[in-house]
Amino acid sequence: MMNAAHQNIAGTAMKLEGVSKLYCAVKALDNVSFELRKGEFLTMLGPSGSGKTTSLRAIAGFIQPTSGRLSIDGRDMTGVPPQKRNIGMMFQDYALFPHMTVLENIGYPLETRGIKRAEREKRSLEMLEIVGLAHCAKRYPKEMSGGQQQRVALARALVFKPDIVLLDEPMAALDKKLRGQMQIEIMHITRQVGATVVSVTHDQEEALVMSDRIAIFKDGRLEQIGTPHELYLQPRSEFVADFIGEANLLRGAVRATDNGVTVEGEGWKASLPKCDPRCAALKSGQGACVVLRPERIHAVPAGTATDNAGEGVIEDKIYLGVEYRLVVRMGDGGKVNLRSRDVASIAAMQAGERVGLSWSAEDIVVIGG
Amino acid sequence: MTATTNDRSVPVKAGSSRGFRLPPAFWLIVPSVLFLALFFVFPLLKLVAISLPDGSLEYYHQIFTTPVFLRVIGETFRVSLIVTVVTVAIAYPYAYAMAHGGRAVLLVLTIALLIPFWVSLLLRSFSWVVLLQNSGLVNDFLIATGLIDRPLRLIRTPFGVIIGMVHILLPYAVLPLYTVMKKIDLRLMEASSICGASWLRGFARVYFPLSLPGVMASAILAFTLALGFYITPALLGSPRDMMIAQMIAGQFNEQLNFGLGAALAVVLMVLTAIAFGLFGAVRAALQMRGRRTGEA
Ligand SMILES: Nc1ncnc2c1ncn2[C@@H]1O[C@H](COP(=O)(O)OP(=O)(O)O)[C@@H](O)[C@H]1O
Ligand SMILES: [Mg+2]
Repeated sequence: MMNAAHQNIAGTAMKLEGVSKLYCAVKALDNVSFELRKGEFLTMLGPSGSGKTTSLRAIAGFIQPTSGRLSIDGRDMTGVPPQKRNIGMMFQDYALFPHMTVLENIGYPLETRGIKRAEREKRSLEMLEIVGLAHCAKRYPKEMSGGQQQRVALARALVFKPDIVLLDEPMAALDKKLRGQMQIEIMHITRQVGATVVSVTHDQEEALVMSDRIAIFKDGRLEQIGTPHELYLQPRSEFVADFIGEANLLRGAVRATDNGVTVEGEGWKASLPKCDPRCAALKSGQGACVVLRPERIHAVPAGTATDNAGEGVIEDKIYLGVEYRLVVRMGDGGKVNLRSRDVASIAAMQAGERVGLSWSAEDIVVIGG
Repeated sequence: MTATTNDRSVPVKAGSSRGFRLPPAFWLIVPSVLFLALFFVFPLLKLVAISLPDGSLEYYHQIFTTPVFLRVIGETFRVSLIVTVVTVAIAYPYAYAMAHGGRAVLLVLTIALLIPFWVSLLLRSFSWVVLLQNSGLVNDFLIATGLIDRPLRLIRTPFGVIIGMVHILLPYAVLPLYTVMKKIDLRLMEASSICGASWLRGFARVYFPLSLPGVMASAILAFTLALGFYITPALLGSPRDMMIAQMIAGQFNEQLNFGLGAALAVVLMVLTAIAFGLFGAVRAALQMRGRRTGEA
């Protein structure tokens, strides 16, 4: 027993078990459980007010969960103050010490760990080199640009080789141009030093670019956690489907047929064959939501009826060079976006005309309930 | 409309013809400048003149060769320094609570701080007499609880003077500290703790250095005000605790030695200026660094 438990812990950097946080009546966090693996880059993604900051602050130890358990490296963190957690953190506006030079800022976590000045400066300089700012050691934070300050903050969060590094909205204070560059850079740097990272953002693109796994939050609950690919291909809720990538959500009614299960709406139907394991979750007579990714839908001539097809009126046809984008109005007034690289066949279609849509059963996600 | 254009064009013309133009705001400060010149600068120059009868330095010579004068000057600085240290030390946590304790705390502490301003200085010093005298509240309480059996000498001692002065100076010391502290971002203390620092280390390495400009401003104000205290040491101190302001008053009111009184006043002023200059130099050094670090 003991051995098995121990082995289990070896790959786990942090574990949240049923963590909740109440602010009066507001459930800022509602029964959140997940594991963080050593060396991974996990992003907590969700709209504003979904509990991302609260999770991060609970991990850092600035707030105590109302209930549930948080452990780091197998150690229960209940009642452990931030300074005893060995966690590095990059704050949203960096929180660099304005009266200390860059080198002193980075050396501060080493200073608190009782490391002597010479060693401290050596290691801080090494870290500064990694973030590419070795020439700025003697400057003060206010004498640096936003991007440079961010790198200093990152260096300060990494220099003492913490068990976990927390990044709070790392790109929020940067202008748009710099964001893309820093996303890649932070990813490279944290990989280079082998850090385990938990980042927070409300920007899905940032999450997709940087993360090994993404945890999607909504109203204080963890909706789904998985690799970007998993979340894109197998969203378990409409919310996740909508949040990750572009999605068309078609709502219809479930009907069992001789060949399997069909979900039908006005002017479209989607069918799963009997052997498909997804059929089990769908009950005849209930509602269901079909998730169609724009690039998985084919535009075909109207009247081509199959088991996985629909029909509507072309509302917009937009040429984007490598592909066409079509906006199709369905029978119930809902819109479906599709992207197609079959430029030749789309070119012949006109706005206002009827068009058929088709897809294959493997490319759709059906969410019951 | 036309009136406005005229108003604007007239002074421009008049100014440019002389090649020098006073900013319009100049006229706003004329009354205060006149007032100060008439009732401050002129009497001050008069004072200096009185202290130098026929250009002779005899009064200054007398001051710097008479032990009693030197002792009073020394005592004034010593008491003021102690009072400054004690005042700032008490004001610091008070201002901290005001700056970071939330709105309710701020309200209560601000009111508590300002109430004494509605009570005259004289009355406040007298209340300390009532509290601290041999048959006063403090001694009565200590005797009643059996902690002591004979009244402590709290009044007519340097202790009494210091208590009274600290009490009066506290609001002056709190306000500059509060102004600086409320601008300090407490997330820096969170950053410090996640870097592995205890609260105490964070305070010493992060919060306190950032609050230093407030400490300096507060100390300058308390010290320069303390140097000129008159009523409080007179009521709460013994003749041995006399401060320079009392001595100046004595020369004018009792000895009727205007020349010596004037010379003492000038000495106090010059020494205050020197103290101010020293503080100022430290502050300038802090600001020099502040310019690079982005503090006030
Ligand atoms: N200190 C607090 N006091 C009261 N409510 C809070 C506090 N912090 C967060 N909340 C509430 O908890 C919820 C989650 O907030 P937060 O974790 O900041 O969301 P996010 O970072 O995802 O935008 C929100 O409804 C917010 O209003
Ligand atoms: Mg937030």
